[in-house]
This record gives sequence, structure tokens and C-alpha cells, in this order.
Amino acid sequence: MPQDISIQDPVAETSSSREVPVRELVRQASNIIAPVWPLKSFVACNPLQGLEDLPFEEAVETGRQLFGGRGYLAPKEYRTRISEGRIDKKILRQVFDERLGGRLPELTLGGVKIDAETLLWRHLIQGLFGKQSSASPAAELNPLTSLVNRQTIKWCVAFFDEGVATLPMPGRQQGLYRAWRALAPHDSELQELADERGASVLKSLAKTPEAAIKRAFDILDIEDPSAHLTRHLGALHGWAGYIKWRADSKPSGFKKAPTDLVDYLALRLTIEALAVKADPLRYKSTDTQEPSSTPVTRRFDHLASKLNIKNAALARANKTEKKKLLTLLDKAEAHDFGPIWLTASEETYRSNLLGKLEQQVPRAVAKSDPATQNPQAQLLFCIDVRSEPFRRHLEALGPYDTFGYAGFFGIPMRHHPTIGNEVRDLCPALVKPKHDVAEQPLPGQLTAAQTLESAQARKKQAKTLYGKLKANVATSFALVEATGVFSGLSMLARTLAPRSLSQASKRLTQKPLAEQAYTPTIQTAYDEQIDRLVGFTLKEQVAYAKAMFEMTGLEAPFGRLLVLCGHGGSTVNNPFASTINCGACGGHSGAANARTMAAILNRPEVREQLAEEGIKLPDNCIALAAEHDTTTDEVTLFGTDQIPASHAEDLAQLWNRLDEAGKKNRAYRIKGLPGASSDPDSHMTERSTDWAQVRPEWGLARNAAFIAAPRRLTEQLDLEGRCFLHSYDWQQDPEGDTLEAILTAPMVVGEWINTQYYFSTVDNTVYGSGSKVTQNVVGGIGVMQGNASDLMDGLPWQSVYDEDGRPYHDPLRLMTTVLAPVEQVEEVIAANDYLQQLFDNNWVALHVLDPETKQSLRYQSGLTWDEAPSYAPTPD
Amino acid sequence: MLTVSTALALLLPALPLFTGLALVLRSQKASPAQGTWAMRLTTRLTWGLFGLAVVAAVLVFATDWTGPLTTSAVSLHPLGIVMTLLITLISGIVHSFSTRYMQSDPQLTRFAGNLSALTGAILLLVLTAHLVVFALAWLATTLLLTQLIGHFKNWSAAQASARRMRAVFLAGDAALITGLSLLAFSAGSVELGTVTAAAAQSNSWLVLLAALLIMIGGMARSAIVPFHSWLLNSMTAPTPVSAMMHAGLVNAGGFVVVRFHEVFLAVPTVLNLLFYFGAATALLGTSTMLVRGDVKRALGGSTIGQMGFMMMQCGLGAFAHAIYHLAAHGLYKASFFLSVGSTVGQKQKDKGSHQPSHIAAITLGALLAAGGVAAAMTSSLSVLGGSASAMILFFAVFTAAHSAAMLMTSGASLRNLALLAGIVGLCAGTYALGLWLVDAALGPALTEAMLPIGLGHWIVVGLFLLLWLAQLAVTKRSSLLPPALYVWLLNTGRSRSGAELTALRESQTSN
Repeated sequence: MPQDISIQDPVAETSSSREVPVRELVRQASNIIAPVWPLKSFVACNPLQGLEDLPFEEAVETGRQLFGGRGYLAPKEYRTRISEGRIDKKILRQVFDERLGGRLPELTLGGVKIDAETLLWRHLIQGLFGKQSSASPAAELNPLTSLVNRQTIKWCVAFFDEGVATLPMPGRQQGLYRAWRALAPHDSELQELADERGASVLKSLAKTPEAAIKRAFDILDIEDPSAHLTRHLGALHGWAGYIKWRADSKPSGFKKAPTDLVDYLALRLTIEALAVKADPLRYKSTDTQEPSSTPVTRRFDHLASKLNIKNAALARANKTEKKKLLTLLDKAEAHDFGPIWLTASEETYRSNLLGKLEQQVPRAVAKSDPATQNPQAQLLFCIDVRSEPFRRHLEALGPYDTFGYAGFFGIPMRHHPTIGNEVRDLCPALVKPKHDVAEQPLPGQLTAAQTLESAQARKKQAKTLYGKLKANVATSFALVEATGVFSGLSMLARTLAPRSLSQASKRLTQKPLAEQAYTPTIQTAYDEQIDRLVGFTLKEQVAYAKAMFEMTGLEAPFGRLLVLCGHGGSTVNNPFASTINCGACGGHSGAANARTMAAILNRPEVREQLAEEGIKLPDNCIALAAEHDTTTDEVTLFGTDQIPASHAEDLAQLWNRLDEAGKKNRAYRIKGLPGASSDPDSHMTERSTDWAQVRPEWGLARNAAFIAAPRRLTEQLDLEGRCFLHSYDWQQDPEGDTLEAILTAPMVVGEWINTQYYFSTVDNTVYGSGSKVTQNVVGGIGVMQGNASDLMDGLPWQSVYDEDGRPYHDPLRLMTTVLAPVEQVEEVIAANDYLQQLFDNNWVALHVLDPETKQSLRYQSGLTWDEAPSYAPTPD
Repeated sequence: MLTVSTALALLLPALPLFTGLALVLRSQKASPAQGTWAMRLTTRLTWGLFGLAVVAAVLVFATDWTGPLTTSAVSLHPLGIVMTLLITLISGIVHSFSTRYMQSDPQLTRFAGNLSALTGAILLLVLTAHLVVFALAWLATTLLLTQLIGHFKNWSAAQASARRMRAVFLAGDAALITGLSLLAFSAGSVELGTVTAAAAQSNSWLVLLAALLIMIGGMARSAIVPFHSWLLNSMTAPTPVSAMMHAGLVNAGGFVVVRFHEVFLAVPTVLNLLFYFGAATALLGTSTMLVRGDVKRALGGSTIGQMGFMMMQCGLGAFAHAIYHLAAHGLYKASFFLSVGSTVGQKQKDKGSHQPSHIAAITLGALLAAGGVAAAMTSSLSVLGGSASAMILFFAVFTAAHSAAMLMTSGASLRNLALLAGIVGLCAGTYALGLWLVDAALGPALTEAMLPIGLGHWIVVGLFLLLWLAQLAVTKRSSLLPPALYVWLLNTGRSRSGAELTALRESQTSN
């Protein structure tokens, strides 16, 4: 009722007893939306995170209804995989029988019985309709949704801009709805839309977003408000997800433009109400029409010719029979085949990997011979799947032990670098940063620091000047005329010789490496420049150091060097640069965390206390920070000039071997990279500096498994860069605390990454961000497609598809494997609801390798275990 | 020498045009591997063309500095060579860029073919002196650009953008072709030199009408108000196409005015009109850029503004300036488009840029500006021409003053200040040198044609000066615009249909 709208106090409104308050309704509805992080600190996230309380298959179906996204690869792709042998036929048959066997209706054609099972099996593996696929094209949006989306996007782009526009939307500090409300009466598009009948609504927009939503419910005569809100949230799930992230995490610029989903929905519903009020008949039918499919007879004839159905039977077959048969096939392909294909793909991979791992269990369990175990250096790498091949190549070169640990080295910190001006949260999204870490110049490096700071100031001033001239009505013209020639020259160099250009500019500026001139502040202190307390107390330092040894099972004897190797990718002109960085560091490089941990470990006070805890680092063991560039496979060692002369030789040797390992790994990786030249060494550098390169590296594509076990279990295997490797020693963890920490933090990050790659691959438009070629960076926060679209979350097409247009990423759900007694694992899961949800709902599969029996056990829902491996592949 | 230059003039457009068309014809059956091959082929070809253009430039400018505007179908005339150098350079860069950027496009053969053919069509347009060929080349660019903007056949948004662009272009094309026909009819010839010479002699209403129609054709192409909105809706094009379009094709409007400058000089009223359309566009485009939050459309707004400025220069009869502007802008904008991927989170830190004293900056700037203009007006400036040139110089003076004021108040160390001032000086020097080179290349016919300046012109410049000062003075930037104007700018160039938003499902993976 219109008079209800005069309610001005949202609190008064919530006291209404008969209804759920609007704010609460919105909160409930928004549970289905997954948060979307801005691109500069890209955090991989399951786009169906809000649906993880449902079993995978149901969640995928709900996702289809809400967002219009597919949950499985295209049937054609799976069938190709079957013919290529990438899906084992024997396993496929097993899965098929389990799912469909014995549950099929009887079919007849002209009185002759048809074997439905054989028919479906053939359809599953070959596809019986050729190009006349039954898959319906994407339903067109109904005009009302399309219209509301159009307006929503316009205002979201204006409201959330972080500096692309010189003149921001006025009134942003009041929130999206109120800012829009002040501008809406001036909007000719809305005036046109409202027409005469809606003009009254446009003139008296409700003052608060809550009231606006209620008013829209009244005008639209909504019976199920909750479902209506859900539909609106699903219509542009990227923008909605971004607003959700922003409202939850309140980033630094939040106060300038504070807003939440109540605001967003108020805007959408008001526009919807406006349109419906203006022209109620036009938007009456909201149902989308089923697209007409190919006529029954024609499809059936095609089928009959393919199946060699006898003419006599065919002639007698009536239309009902034909239709029934076609419906059976279509329904199976639409609902049953996806899960069958997916499960068979997964089991093909898993049975193979498990077979290999089982063989290694005795080796992993055996007490190793102390004589052979005398490492020169121990290196900790990130659990990232890209570490595995590099570690393998490095281990082959010398007496080096490698370990896998989350790439932020367990230190949740906010980094304030002096050089490179962005403040960054260097920890997984699951964790909030607890410490501020600044940088101070090293005693011998004051000149270098000064040079760096001066260069940075100069760059900033030049940028400001350029930006101001560019954005001024009168100065932009002469600016273009004065700088055009230089744009041309730089463009020429960047296109024709990106590698030489970057090398030349490095040589020309001769800038020292910032990481060599500065050191992170470890001791608690007040930092004037950033006006806050930085560093760690001694107790905290010891705690982080101790956690690292406990989590990874790293213990004596220690080598002479203990290397903490963070990682980052290097790429230019790439909005998705953060996707190839360290996922455990919020999409940034982990170098700062590694440097912080190394500095902590080298402090005598810390070592003293660690020794009391039983971790005795000998004096000749020096901690050293490093960064693995995953694009070029070059490893930079930090603070090397602080290393005493006694270790010079160790350092030189390490350097050589890292170099060699890098070479080997480049040669190993180059096979999968499209457009690669024959020389891996120069080519990788070229990729990392080329502004036209859409695939600097493959990132975490093809990830499929998470293994928590000592390295001894996997060191003999080529895991193809598909596994997250977390070092874990069950013998040091009788209480299961470490395992719980591993499964609830690193493994969950792994699951987020895995599901993001999965969904970005199976539906790159809805759950991914589409082709880079037509992306349009918006507001410095994300990308849209073309002129305007939903805020695209997920990975771009080029990150998961190869140059032939086939998925490079193999979309399999994560398989977690733990080497530990099954009781120990069960206890951890029993105590943790979230883990049960992930495993019971089939978002992650769990396998345990039992050190006693050396057999693998597979977790079934409800804390039960399956003894034998469920599926056996075709023997080779 | 004549035969060599004719051969060059023929090869330059013919090679890319026919190679491109052949590839497009074969593209239906082409495999991805063939696409890669096609892209490499056209890339090499385009760099070869750039080489040829350099040879042509040396031939013509070294042997006959001014170069005759010959009457053959294609000829190496100075303006044509300057344009050819620019177009082959940008096209070469766009081609090379695309070999990596477009690598996984399933329709790469068609893309390479269209891009190459478009290059050829533009080259033909700039080199021909035959009106029929000119009209055909002009039409061909319309159709080829439609193909490239609508490269993704299954993406309805791209198809809608392409259709919209084509509709605007074809309307402009119709005007242009009618204008050309009128000229040909009244002169009884289809040769450009003859026709323009005849038009320069007569001042009949026919010439006036023809000039108007040609101007309209040029305005549609250069996204001049009221034809600007197609450009803001063309972002469905693959990024390299946008680079090529914003650097190459939109310039056609300025080019056609310069190419037919004799006709326009015969009817200065039309040029005056063009000046005001240009000024309106310069203001609108730049303002549109200021409110856009998405990078590609902000660049679109910027292009529209720059095209407006180019037309202002044309309207003043400062044809060499206009050509220099379109060349410099082409390089500038192509570079921006190709680096659109670098803009994530880039401007975040801008908020802290403290400006110690605005009043000082403004006073200083205003003083410098006044001094600069006075100097420009009183000095002879023979190279740069008369008072129209001084008017254009005005904009350079704003800019120099602004830079000087900002540097002086930036609080930079002395060393950095010197370095930055050096960079600004280098840019200014390059600007002067570039302008001088273009002047020298185009010859007196195009550089000494400036029109007298009237009060209206000064009012326009005054408006820019006012806005400049306003933008300098207002610190709370959001309050600069009244709400109604803000919303109006935000709505500028939006299509009426919702087609722009449809998803691009599978546009990459099939067809």
C-alpha cells in the first residue's frame, strides 16, 4: 500500500510483528552469493560457496537455476575425452551401472522391445544425435530483468569506481541507494521508463533503502519476498558478490562509498517497480519460452539410421513411442550424464594416482637411514601445485630436502613496503592480518635506499602530472600532441622486442633491488611513516617459527642453509596478474613473508627459545629468504650480502643448482605452453615481459589433488604439477592438531582454488570472466565484457582453455590424500562440521593412506570408510 | 621515377587488400593452425608495407619535396605518404600484437584477413585521386570495420554494436558519396585534382552543398556530435581492433576535410560550422571521459574529444596541425588501448597527492599562460602560420603552464625537478619538431591556408580557458558537476536497446 512508504525509520519498521524485517530478509537471501574480491588482490573462491551446504550435484543444479551456469563440461568434450582414453571406459561403465543400471523404463518401438541400457550407454560414449544436440541454447533474459540489469550496471560502475573516472558519482558517502535517489529524477532513461504512470513513483522515491524495498514489494505485489530477492541477487551475481565482499570486509576506501546489498536491492527493486507500474502488461510474463527443438520425427529418423533399427519396427512405431525414447535420451544427457562423466574422469585420475602412492607408502613409512639423510640445505616451498615440478628438479641435483608449507609461512601480515606503494594483506582470505610489517633500510644500503625512494617519488610526480593533464578539458589536446611520438616508440619496442626493452630499461635505470636494500621490521616498534605499531613480540616470533616446524614436520638434522621460498609470477599488461601469484598471500608474491620469517629465524633470541621447545637450530644453519618466479622459473635469493663468508660456498652452490633446476623446469613446462619458441630460457622471460601475452604461464591449471604427507611419499613420482603438497608427519602429531590445521586452512584454500578453476572451465561466461580479448577493466576493481556487463568473477578463458579452444584445465574436484592412521584422521573430521560438509557433500574427496596396512581407504559420507578402492581402471 | 612511384602506390593498397580478402574467403574452412599462419603472413606483409612506405617517403620527399597531386587513380602525394606511414606503422604494431594476443581465437584467419583488408582499404583511400575509387574505398572501410567490431558472431551484443556502427557510417557514407557526386557532376570529372581545382574557382551553392555533405560524412566517421555514440558502444571489438580503429579509422573525417581542403576553403562558412561542431565534440568527449568508470569507454570519450579538437583545427584551416594531431593522437591512443590490461588498481594511491598551494599554482599558471599567449601573438611564428595557429598554440600554453605550476608545487627534490622539467621540455621539443616536419612534408598549400579568426572563435577558446581554471580551482571534484549534467554525461552514448548486456556465451568456443 502506498501509505506504508512514509515509514522513515527502518528500526520502527523492523518492529512490525507480522513480517521478517527487510534487512534480515536480504541477509538470508544473500547467503547464496559468493563474495567477489577485487582483481588487485584476487582471491580464488568457489562461485557456489553459498551453496556448499548442498551436495555438489544439487548445488550445481541450483546454480543453473539462479545464475544460469552450467555445472559440467559440454557433452561433446567428455565424449572426445572418452575416445581419447582420458576417461577410462571400464570405470565409466562402473559409474554408469551404479547410477542408471536397473532403473530404466521399458521401451518399445512398434511392439519390439528396445534395450534402453545399451541405447543410453551408446549415447553416453558416442552421442547419438551428432550435431543436432538436444542442449538448448541459453535462454534469453526477459526484457524486465535486462532493463533492470542495464540500469544497475550503469550505477554500479559509477558508484564503485576507484579512480578511473576523474569526476566520481556525487553523494557516494551516503551509500548506493541514497546517492542514486538524489540523481534518479534527473535521469532521462528513467523518466522515459517511468512514463506518465510511473512519474509519481519517480518523484517520491522512498528515503531509506529498506522502505524502498518494502514499497517495491507492494507495487509489484510480491508473494514470496525471499525468492524475489534471491532472483535479483542471482541476476548479476558478480556485482552482488563484489558488494557482499566489500560490505563484509570493509576495505580502506569503504567509507568513501559505503554500501551493502540492501542498497543494491533497493535500487534494483525500485527500478523494477517503476517499469512495472508504468507498463504492467508489457512485463507480465516472466517465464522464458522453451526454445523449440528439432522436430521429433527428424531427430528420430537420424537416430534410427544411426542405430540400424529395422524398418519393420520403425514403420510400426507410433509417435508416443518415439517421443518417449527421445525424452529418455534427452533427460539422461541433461541430468544424469554430467555427474557420470565427471565421476568417471575423476576416478580415472584418482585410481591412477592412488595406485602410485600406495606403492610408495612403505618407503614413506620406513625410518630413513641417517647416513643418507644429511641435507646440505632444506628448502620450504609453497604448497602451490607449481612448486612440485621445481622441487623435483632441484632435488635431483643435490642433497637438498624440500618441504611444502602455505606460502605465507604462517605469518598473517599487512605489508607496508617503502618501495612499490601498495599496502597489501599477505595472508589467505580465511585469515585476517594480525601484524603490520614495514621496511627499513639496511645499515650498509642507505644510498641505495635513497636512490630508490627518489626514483619512486619522481615516478609518482610524473604520473600525477600526466594524469592531471590527461584529465583536464583544456590540456589533454596538447598533451597528446607532445607525447604521441613517445607513445609510438614505446609501443613499437614493447611489441617487437619486449624482452630487450625490459633488459635495456633495467640496465639503464640500474635500480638496486628493493628487497636487498631494505629489511622487514621484526621487533615491535612504532613506525612514524605509517603511524602504527609494526613488528612482532618475541613470543609471537617464536610461535610463528615453531608452527612452521610443527606443521611441516621439519626437524633435525638441519642443513647449513634453511631456505624459505615464497613465490610470485611476473607478467605485464595483465589484469589477472594476481591469479598467478601466491594464493596463500591473497594474490600477491610471498617474498615479504619469506623475508620476515627468515629474519625471525636468524634472531639469536628466537633460536634460544626454539631450542627450549626442542627445535635446536645449529649455529651454522642460516635462514635465507627467496622468491620463486613461477613464470620464468628464476629464483631470487634475498639478503645474500648479509650471509657470512663461512657460507659463501654453500650459497654459490645453491645458486648454481637453483639456476639449473630453473632451466630443467622451463624445459619441462614449455611443452604445454602455446606459441612457445624453441629456446625455453629466453622464451619464458619474453612471456613475462610481453604486453601482448595472454598466457604468461598456466598458473594452477590442471590442479587435482592435495597431498598431506612427508615428501618421501611423493619424491619418486612425477605428479605433473597437479598436486598441492603439504608436508606432514603424522608421527609428530598424535593429537591431530596439526592435521586439523592443515585440513581446515591450506586444504580449504586448495578447495577454493580448485572449485574456481573447475567452474571457470565448465562455464567460462557465468563463472569465469570470459575472453581477455574483449574484457573492459572497470573502476580499477575488476573486468566487464564489452561495453558493459556483470562484473566478471573467476578466471579468463585464456587461463583455462588452450589455443585449440579445448579446456586445458582438467575440471576435477579436489582429491585430498593424507598419510596417517585412519582413526587419527577420523577424529579430526568428526570434530569439524565444515570438513564434514565438504567431504559429505562431495566437494572434496578424501583418501587416507594407512601407514600400518599400507592400504588406501576412501571416506564415505557420515564418517564411514570404504576399504577397497572403488574403481578399477582397464589394465594396461 | 614516375613508374616506380606508381608501382609503389599500387602495391601499397593492393597487397594487403587482396591478401586480406583471399584469407577472408578461405576462412570458413581454416583450422586454428592455419589461423596462426595467416596472422603471421599478414603481420609480415604489413611490416613490409611499412618498409615500402618509408621507401616511398624517401623517393618523393628527396626527389620532389612538395610532390605533385597527380591525377592518376593512385599516386604518392605528400598527404597520402604521411598517412601511409602512420597507417602502416600502427597496423604493423596491431598485427604483431595480435599474433600473441589473439592466439587462441578460433576465427583467426578471418580476423587476420579483415584486419589486412582494412589496412589495404584505408591505404587505397589515402592514396587514390580518383573519386569513384575514393568512394569505394570509403565504403569498404565501413564494411570491414563492421566485420571486425562484430568479430564474435555468436555474441549478440557485438552484433548489435556492429549494426549500430554500420548504420551511422552508411548514413555518413551516403552523404559523402552524394557530395562527391555533386562535385564530379559540376566539374565534369572524376579526378580529384580537377574536381577540387574547379570547386575552388566556383562558389556556387552546389559546392557549398557538396562541402556540407562531405563534412557530414567525415563527421560520422570521426564520431563528431551528433554522431558520437557509435564509438562509445564499440567496445565489443577485440582490443587490437579498438586500437586500430581509434588510431586509424576515426581519423578519416579529418583526412577527408584536408584532402578536399580546396573545396572547403571555397566555402569558409562550412569550415566555421565544422569548428563549432568540433568544439562541442571536444567538450562533450572530454567530459564524457571524466565520468566514465570503465577504462575502454573512458578511452572512447577521450577519442571523441580529440577528434573534436582535430575538427576544430580543420575548421580553422590549420590543416597541417590537424594532420599532426591525428598522427600523434593515433599513436597515443593505440598505445593506451593495447595497454588496457595494466589498469587494475592502478590509481588507488592517488588520494594522498597533496597540493600545497592551489592559489599559487593557479596564479602562476595564469601568469604563464598570459605571457605565453602574448608572446605567441606578437612574435612572427612564421613556421606555424598566422593567428589561427596562435589560437591552437593557446592550448599548448595552457598545458605548459599547468605542467610548470604542478611541478613547482609538487615538492619534488631539485634533482627530480630538473629531470621532470627535462622530460617536459623534451616532449615540447618533439611537439615542435613533429609539427615542423609535417608542415614541411605537406607543403605550403596545406600550411598557409588558415582562416581569419573571429569573435566566435575566441569565445570558444575563452570557454576552454574558463573550464581549465574551474578544474584547477575546484578541489572537491564531485561538486564540479550539477547532478543533472552528471547524469546526462553518464547517459551519453548509451544505446536504447539492452542488447549491449547480453552474455557472450561460447562466443569464443564456437564459430
